[in-house]
Amino acid sequence: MRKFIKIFGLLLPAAGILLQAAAAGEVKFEASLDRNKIAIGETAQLGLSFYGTQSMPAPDVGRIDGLEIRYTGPSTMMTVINGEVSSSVTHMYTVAPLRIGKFQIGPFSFKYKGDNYTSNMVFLESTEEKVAISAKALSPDLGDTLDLGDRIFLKLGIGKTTAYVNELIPISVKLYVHRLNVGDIQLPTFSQEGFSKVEFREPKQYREELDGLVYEVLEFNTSIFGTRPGDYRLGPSKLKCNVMLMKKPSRGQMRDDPFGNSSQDPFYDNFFSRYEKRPVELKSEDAQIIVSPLPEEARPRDFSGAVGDYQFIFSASPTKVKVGDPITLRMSINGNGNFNTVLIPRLEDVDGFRMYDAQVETHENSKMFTQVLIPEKDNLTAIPKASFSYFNPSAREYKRIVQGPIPIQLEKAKEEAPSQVVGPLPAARQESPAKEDEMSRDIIYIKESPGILMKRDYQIYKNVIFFVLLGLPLPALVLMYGVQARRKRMERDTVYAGRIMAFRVAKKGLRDLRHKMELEDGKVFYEEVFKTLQNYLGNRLHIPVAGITFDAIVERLAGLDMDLDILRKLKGLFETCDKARFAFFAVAKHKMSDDLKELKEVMDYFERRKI
Amino acid sequence: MNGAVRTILSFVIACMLLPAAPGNAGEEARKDYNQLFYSANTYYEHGDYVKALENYDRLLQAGLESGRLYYNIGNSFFKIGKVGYAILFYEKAKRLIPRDGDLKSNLAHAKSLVGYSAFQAPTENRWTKIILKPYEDFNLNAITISGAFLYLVLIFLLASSVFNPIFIRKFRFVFWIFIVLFLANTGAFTLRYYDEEILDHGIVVQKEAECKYEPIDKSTTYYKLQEGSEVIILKTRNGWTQIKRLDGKIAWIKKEAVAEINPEF
Repeated sequence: MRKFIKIFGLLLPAAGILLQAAAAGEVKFEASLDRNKIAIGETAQLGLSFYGTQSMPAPDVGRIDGLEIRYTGPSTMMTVINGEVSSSVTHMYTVAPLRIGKFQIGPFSFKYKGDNYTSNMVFLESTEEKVAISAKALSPDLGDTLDLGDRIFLKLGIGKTTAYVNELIPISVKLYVHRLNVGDIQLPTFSQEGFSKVEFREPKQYREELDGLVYEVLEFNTSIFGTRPGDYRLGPSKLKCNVMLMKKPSRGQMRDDPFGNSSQDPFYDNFFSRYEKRPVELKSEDAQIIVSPLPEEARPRDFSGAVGDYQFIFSASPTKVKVGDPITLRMSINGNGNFNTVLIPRLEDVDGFRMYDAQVETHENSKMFTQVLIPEKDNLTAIPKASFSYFNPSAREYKRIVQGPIPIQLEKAKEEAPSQVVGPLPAARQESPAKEDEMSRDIIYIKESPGILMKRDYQIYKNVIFFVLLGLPLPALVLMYGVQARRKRMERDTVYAGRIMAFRVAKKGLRDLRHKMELEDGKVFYEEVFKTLQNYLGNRLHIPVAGITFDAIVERLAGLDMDLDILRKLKGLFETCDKARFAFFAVAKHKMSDDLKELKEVMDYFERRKI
Repeated sequence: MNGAVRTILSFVIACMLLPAAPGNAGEEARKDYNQLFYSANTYYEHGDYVKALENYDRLLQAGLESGRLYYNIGNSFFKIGKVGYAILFYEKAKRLIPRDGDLKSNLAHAKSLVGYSAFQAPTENRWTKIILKPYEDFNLNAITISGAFLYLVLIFLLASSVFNPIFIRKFRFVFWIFIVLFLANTGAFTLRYYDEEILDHGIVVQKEAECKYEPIDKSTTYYKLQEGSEVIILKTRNGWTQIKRLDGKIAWIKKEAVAEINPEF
């Protein structure tokens, strides 16, 4: 997986980074100026940086004749490269020349907690006329099209423009940054058709002066090699990172300079500034590389593609063994070149040895092959010769190194009963006439029955029915939980139970009433209406059923915002019931139907309002 | 068990096994297939391994498979000296009958003939090994069924706790044991499913196959693989297959030099 390098605040104006010193725990004190030449009336930024700490107070810079120096504040920085953390603090000062001349600033001496720190010195020249600054460098707006000009750029460097197939070509990608905060730097990428995969090493960080400007440089190094002959263009290399740009508020008296330059008072500039993160993708130039084929002439038969300048060391231990005991061969290829294409040296005539695949360890300038050989015959006297061939691109010729043979002393092995299944093993890469016989002898016999012949690739976990059936108990369980929870609530919550009962009574009562209405017997119908009302309201309002009258209901509902029409209907129902039950007056069927509707409306209202 | 329950269960089992049944020809077809297998065995007994392979192959062509069939095919290939193919079919058999001792022996023997490779060892991490260890002798179907069983036990325990809360309080440790077993089973299933169904494993079936940086004949050889080496197949293009050795090194190999253990049909 591609590693990302996180760098928080790679640079601060006029600050240098020396990670090595910081990592070693040493505090380094350094003075720097953002520019060395300014006009009278302009200001320069002086930075006093302490690397390896963030808890250093601002040093007193004292007075320098002809200069006005004002402290503007500290700025801390933490740099993380592949998990290694470095920190620093930079105390910033604005420097304004009061006269024309050349000034020496520093060296500054500073004593803190018993330790003395001494900085380097810097020089500032003040002139009468304004110093011309590149228009690119002072790009005034922070628009969508960001032109960073020569403040940040990428350079692709290649070690050679012609190479043989498999010959290593050193590649460097350098990120140059001048007076910019850069973070979230990713590894460079580039098109590499015809070349091996690029894997960058840890980047180096240093300062470099180019055209009078001091740049912080992050250098990524790697080596690639051509995998087939041809004329290729390598690159352009691309690198993504975030640039922290200083953005100032749009006030009339302030200049919107994304890089922090200002002709106004630097105090206000710094105070009102804020940083904005802008992603950028940098692109280098591309480069031409011609990859030549390896010469066919004089190519050794055992040549496997190694290109470079190598040495071959060959050893074996132990050299005094019994037949069947392992001997470890160590074949080390050292030198300079492409170790990706270095394959194991070839052993000549391994008849009588059983060989195992080698284990390989690759280091920066060596590749070690460790291989186990087992002598299987007692007449063997030596480990055979091993040869390694490579092409030396400097000498433009093939070279072959032969090592060995290494004498060995063998003792006869004790007779042991052969294994029923796994007998003596023939050498893996040897075609032996006895191979088939050994094979026939060593395996267990075939199965006599086919077992259960299934449709190919049938798996129970691909069966939908299986999963549907398996899924059924889950909703059943949820249902059981629901039913049980409701039952428990009915037991402990009488109000809730009353409401549930009321609903049931209502449903049953309405069903019975529809049936009794067909009998056209007013007394029977209204007795049932009264009973339904009593049961429903008693359960619903949690009052004793026996004592239910309209007045009792009204008293219970006092304080609730009841619909008067519903109360009127309820009262009417109670009155009609009383008349029908006790006054024996005749009631038409349509009246019963209307009352049934009203009863339903009343009960619906109570259900809806959850009274 | 009353009659209705028995009927439902029979129906359920029939539904699940129906897709696995060899065609619709029923008993007669099964007899024919078995006959084909026995005749292949007869050829094998008489040393005519090629004829045996032809008969076994007819069963494969009919869309059928079994661990024993793959095992016998592996043996036949072994006999004619195609150790790479023998390992391929033993590996296929291992996915169906991982517990079979004969298979384990023959596979180990075939692998030992082509030489041990340091790159054959799968690079599993410690947790993967711990999770998969108890399921070494289980095929994916067996892991599925054990998972289903644990799931049903958990459902039963939960259902019991609904009606009798004391039960779950009393047997809480049993409940947690089943939870852990179920999770371990699910983890093992996921890892094995990923390994067998998502990753495309292949076996090198040619002697000393050259693996190159690019899918071009003239490209540089990156490394060589012995017959029988296991690789992961990434993609195939223009007669070349991109493979990953078990130590993670990616290269291109001639398509015919590698065969998939579990090809898509």
